[in-house]
Amino acid sequence: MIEQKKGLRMSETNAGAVRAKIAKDRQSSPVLDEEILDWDVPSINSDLPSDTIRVRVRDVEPEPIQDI
Amino acid sequence: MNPNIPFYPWYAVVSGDNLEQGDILVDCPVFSPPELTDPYGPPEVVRTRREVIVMTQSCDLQRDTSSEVLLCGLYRRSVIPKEHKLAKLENLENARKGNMPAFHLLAECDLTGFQRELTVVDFRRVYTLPFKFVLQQANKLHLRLLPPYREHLSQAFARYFMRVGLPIDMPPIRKEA
Repeated sequence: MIEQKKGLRMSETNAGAVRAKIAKDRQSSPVLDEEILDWDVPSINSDLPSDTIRVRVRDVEPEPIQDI
Repeated sequence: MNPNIPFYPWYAVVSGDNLEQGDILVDCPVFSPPELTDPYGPPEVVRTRREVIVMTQSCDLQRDTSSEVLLCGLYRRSVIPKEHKLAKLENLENARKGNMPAFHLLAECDLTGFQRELTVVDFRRVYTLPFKFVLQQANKLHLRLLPPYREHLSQAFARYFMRVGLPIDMPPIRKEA
């Protein structure tokens, strides 16, 4: 039980850290628009029906040409 | 256009039910995963709208319409940052000669309504999109790079991809003393 609680605390901490990093990342490439889309994902096995996933799509400016 | 230079057309204006290698799409959405993903949140993708050129061979596009289409990113000369190597005329000329394998230059276009400046194809910016999605994007008037310039582009891409870095190159051959 204690281990489980520890595990939960760890994952919450990780989630916070990841979200903080993501927020910082977004500051460097500002989001122009955002929408939620349902995408059909074709099944690898053509006998099976395709699946649908809900994704968050973020629009950002294309980056400038990278130097060499 | 300089009247002293012989003219051979680089581009045609086409509209879309037959996608071909060399088709230029000016506002094409491309998708990538974000650099950092939140494993606890909903799946996310990043969408950018950019200029791309179709790199898949035309015959492959006709043969298999269920496949993915390979695209490369385009950058017009005016959007190249001034600190970039290609901002220097000398390097741009090197790219024109094929001495900068990651880049390929496309000539200016003066077709009415489709004028565009010198454009750099960046072979390091590669995308794939489903055929039907690209066809939808091409379903409006757009420029198409014409032969033999599109084969020249394709060859330059192949050369970039297959290049080999030697650990120690043969020394330059100089005039004997």
